[in-house]
Parts: sequence; structure tokens; C-alpha cells
Amino acid sequence: MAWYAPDSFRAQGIIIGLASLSMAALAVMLVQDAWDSSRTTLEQATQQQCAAAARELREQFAERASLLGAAAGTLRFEAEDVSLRGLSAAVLRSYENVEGGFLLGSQKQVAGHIGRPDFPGSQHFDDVAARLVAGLGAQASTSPNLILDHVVDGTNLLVGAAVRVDSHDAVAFTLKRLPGANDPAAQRRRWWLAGLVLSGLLGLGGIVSISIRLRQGVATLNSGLSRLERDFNYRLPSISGDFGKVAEAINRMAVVRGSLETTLRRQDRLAALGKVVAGVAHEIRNPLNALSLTLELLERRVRKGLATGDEAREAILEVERLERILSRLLAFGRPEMENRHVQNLQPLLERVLRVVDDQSRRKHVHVTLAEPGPMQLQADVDALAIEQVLINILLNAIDASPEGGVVKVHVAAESQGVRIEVHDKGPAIPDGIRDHLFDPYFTTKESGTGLGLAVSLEIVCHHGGTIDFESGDSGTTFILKLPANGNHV
Amino acid sequence: MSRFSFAVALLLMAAPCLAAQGGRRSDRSTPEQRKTETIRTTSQRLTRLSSRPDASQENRSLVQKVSSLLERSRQATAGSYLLDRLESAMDDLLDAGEDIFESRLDLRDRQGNRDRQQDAVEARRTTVRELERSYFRIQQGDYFARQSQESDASEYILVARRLYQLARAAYDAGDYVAARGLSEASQKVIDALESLAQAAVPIPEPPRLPEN
Repeated sequence: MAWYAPDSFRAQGIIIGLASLSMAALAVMLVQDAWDSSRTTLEQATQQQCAAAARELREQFAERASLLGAAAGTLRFEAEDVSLRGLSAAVLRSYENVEGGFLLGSQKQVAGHIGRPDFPGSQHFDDVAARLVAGLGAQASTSPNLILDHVVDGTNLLVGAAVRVDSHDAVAFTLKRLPGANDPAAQRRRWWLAGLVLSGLLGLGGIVSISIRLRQGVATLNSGLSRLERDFNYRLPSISGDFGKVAEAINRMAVVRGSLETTLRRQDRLAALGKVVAGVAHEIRNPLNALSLTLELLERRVRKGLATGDEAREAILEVERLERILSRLLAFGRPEMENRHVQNLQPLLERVLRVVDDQSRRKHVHVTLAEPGPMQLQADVDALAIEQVLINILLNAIDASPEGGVVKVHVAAESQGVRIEVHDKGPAIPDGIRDHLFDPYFTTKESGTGLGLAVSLEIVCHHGGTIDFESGDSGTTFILKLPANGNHV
Repeated sequence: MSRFSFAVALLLMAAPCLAAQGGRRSDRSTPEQRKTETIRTTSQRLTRLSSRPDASQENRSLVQKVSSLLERSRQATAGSYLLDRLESAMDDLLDAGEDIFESRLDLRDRQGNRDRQQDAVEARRTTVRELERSYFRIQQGDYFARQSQESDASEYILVARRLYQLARAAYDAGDYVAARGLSEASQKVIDALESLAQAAVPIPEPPRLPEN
């Protein structure tokens, strides 16, 4: 029912259309009226009417006379007058507002005259009518043709017709009075009124035209904007008129917006690059710390002559881990799990605990592996990737824990894999940031990059596992589920 | 010359004069005598019409109207214009009754003989003209009814219209003789009304043209 809304173009168009039709009908009626009321038209039509009535009167008079035969004229005049009035009444009832009768004998005595009841006094001729009828009678009595004439009486017009009744000394005459037909002021008023209505009609036509152009323009803009939403390289077609200026303005705006978007995209790329660099630094900081500690230990042992190959091997492992972390960071968004296979989680967890050991000591937080341990638990994982995930989660837990607190790691088997929980006693995660914890570059730490949990989520998802958390007054628990045999958890 | 011969001769000489005197009796009769004679003959015609085996409504109406006019005629002044018009109206009504009766009698006589009409086309054309005339006369009847000031003037028009309808029915049935008779009867009813309108006084003065 959108068309019904009064502010819709369709509803307005219907209203304007109806108004136009009414105005057009009124204009036609007024013009027709003005034309019909013009003296020439009116006079011609009335003359035709009077002529037809006079001819019919003549025919009926002749027929009556032929039927009466010798009996005609034996009655006194009053009786003859009544009979002829009946005849005139029957004839003239078909001619609106036409009066008429007969002129009998050489004296042209009026007989059978029927006047119009709506013209008081017309039963008896006024001077003007009498003059007209006398003139008509005089001409008709000497002519075989129909005689037409008219008389102007002020603003009124009288039109008459007369015809001789052959073989009888009589003339049939008719008369019609046209009040106001000779009033030029009234004529002018009619034409002025018709002109005004025609002007109004033209105005309405203009409104209709504007309405149509408006509707077409809006429709063109609408479809163009819809297409522009899908394809920003699209440009609105050129439209004539004011809508064309609007379309040009929209096209200019699209050009400016495209340019701005290009600039913004470049700036975004630069910002993203900075964040990536920060993320890389964050990721390699932990292995670098471990490498530094190992090298210090190696340096002390070398100085004491107690050096073995274990520390060097440890350092080499850390360097390899750094290289692999860098490779994966470079491949962020499309991580590859080249070394994924089913393996025991025990060595993996031990390496993770060693990595975070330094951090936990500094914070005086005790990290424990809850019983039963992961002695017999296996999972289908890339060890380095999962180590990185667990290190991220543990370091977050250590950061969140109060000094002297405990972080518990609990590993358990599940129906389709392994469940690893990391629980700390830190404050609950605020509601406002829970939905953004895994968003890239989201961080609440001054030195954070916001990539730790985002990378972790990506790694776990590529393993077919899940990562989730529960947080409340009793602390926060991150729950990591990993598949046992390559299937999804 | 014997007395007998003289008497015969005198009688023969006087005979044309007597005959002429008898033939002009109406011309030389007094208005009272003419009135008496008219009432007598009209009464006879009325008796004949009412005794006809025609029980139609139109016939009854005509008999009733003539009876009423006859009564008014008895009271009218002998030789007056009013009496003249009343006589004319009664004659027309009685003629109409005769036409109706003869049309129906004629209709009965012509049963099965329609095909023998010699000039059906001409008969039809004449009948159409007659029907048109009746229709036009009925239209005039409205004016005569107003002018007559008769209380039962509308009944004349009703009878005339009814007769016109019967004439139309007869025309549609192909009985042109009956159609013409009924049509003429319809016109005569209007003629009677016209006479009554002429009898009504005063008559409006017709307009006059200027002397010059």
C-alpha cells in the first residue's frame, strides 16, 4: 500500500491527475458554454429552431384546413383561435421556449398564438415582438420562402421566423426570446472565465510535467545510487535539468571518496605494517630471552670449564624456533602445519614450562601442572605452534595473577582429543572486552600488540581444535581442546 | 274546368311551394324548434348507440358523456353559441361511437378475408397517416382540456388515447380498416373536446399587431 501514502509520488500523481481531469472537463464545459452563448452561435441555432417550428406549423395548418374543407371559416373567430391554439400548442411543445401562431387574412390577425409561460406578458406581444412579427408577416405573405429576422431589445435578442401557408391566406410564425444574448459584458465574462480555467489547466499540466520529471529523476538517482553501492567505479548517467546537477555532485563526491579511500588504505597499510613489526618483536622476545639465558649459562660454564654440548644445543633449538616463528608470522593468515603429527604432549609441556619459568620467577607466580599429568596423553599437533599457543596463554595468566599467586595447568583426555586448561586467580575479564579478546591488535597492555591470542586462535582453529575461556570472581580459565587424531574436536 | 280539375290543378301548382316550404323548414324554423329537433335526433342516436351490443369501456364512456352533454344542451339557450358547440361535441362523440362499432363489426365481417385486400400497401400508408394525425390530435387534447375547464376533460383524453392504442394494435395485427376506424374515433373524441374548449368562455384575447 505504498502508493496510498500521501507523500508518495504515485499518490500525488493520482491526486494531480484527478484534479487535471476535473479542470479539463470544467474548461471544456465553459468553452462550450461560451461558444454556445456567443450571439452568432445562439442566433443561428435559434433561427434554425424557429424555422423548423414555423414549417411544422405551416404543414399542420394546411392539413387541418384540407380536412375541414368547406367547414373551415364557418366558426366565429374565437372558436377558430382556440382550435389553432391547440394545434400550435401540440407543435411547439417539441420546441423549447419557442412561441408562435398564425397571421390570418389580409389584416394579418394573430390567431392560435401560444406564448411561453416563463415570459410574463408574452401572451400579448410587447412592442418589440409585435414589430418583429409584423415585419415577418409582411415579408412572408409576399414570398414563398421562409423569412428569418431578429430584433435587438437592449441586452435581449428576439429571433423570429415566418412562412406563408400556400393556398391559404395565412402565415405561420414563430418567435424566441433570448434574454441577455446581446450582452457583450456577459459574453466577455464567459470568455474570461473560460480563459482563466484554461490557464489553470495549463498550470496543472505544468505541475503534472514537473511531477513526472521529478519522479523519473528520483528513480534514476535511486537506481544509480544503488549501483554505486555495489560498484564504486560506476558513475551516474547524465540527466537534464536540476537532477543532472545532483547527479554530477554525486559523481564528484564518488571521485573524492575514491581518492580518500586510496589514501586511507595506504595509511592503514602503513599502520598495519607497524603493528605487524610490533607483533613480530613480541613473538620473538620470549625465545630471545630464553636464548639469552642459555647463552649466559653457557658462558659461565665455558668460563668454569664445565661446558657441555647441552646448552649449545639448547641455544640452537631456540634459534631454530625463532626462525620458525618468524616464518609463521610472515605467513600470518595462512599458517602451515608442516610438522603436525600425533605426539606425546609431555615434552611439549615441559618445554613450555621452561620458557615461561623466567617470567614466572620474576612475578613470583608458581606454575603447576595438576595431576594426573599428560603422561600418556597424545594429540595430533604441530608442537612448535601449540607451544606458542600455550606460552601466550601462560604468560597472560602469569601477568594477570597477583604476586605469589598460582597458575594451574590441567591436562585431561576427552572423547575426541585432549583438553588443556590454564587457570589463574587474577581478576575477572571485564564484560566490555570479552568479545574482543581474540580480535587481532586488540590489547589492554601498554606494551602489548594484540596479536598473541589472535595468532593462538588461528593456530588452534587450523588444528581443528577450539579455544575458549571462562572468567569470574574465582579467576580465569582458558580451555584449549585439541584433536587426538587429526579430526576436528 | 270542373271543380275536381281546378282542385288538382291548384294542388299541382301549390305542390312545389309546399315542398319547398317543407324543405326549408329548418332554415325558417325558430331557434327553439331547431333546438328541439337537435335534442330529439341526438336522443335517438344516443338510444341507438347505447342499445348496440358493445359493452366496451369506451362505448360506455361515450354514452355517459353524450348523456351529460344532452342534459346541458336542454338547459342551454336556443340558438346560442354554447348550444352550437355542445351539439357539435355530441355529434362528434356519437360519430366516434359509430366508428368504434363499425370498426368492430367490420372486423368480424372481415375474418379470414384480409388476404383479399386489393391494395395493401396503399391501405397501410393511409392508415399510418391516420394514426399520425390521431397522435397529433391527442397532443392538442391537453390544451383543449385546459381551455375547456370541464371537470371530466381528462377522461376525454383517456378515451382518445385508449382508442389510439386499439388502433395501433389493429394496425400491428394487419387490420388496417379497423385501425383507421378506431383512429378516426379517437380524433372525433378530441374534436368533441375541442368543441367544448371553444364553448368555454371567456376566450383570451389574441394579440394584435400594430396598425401601421
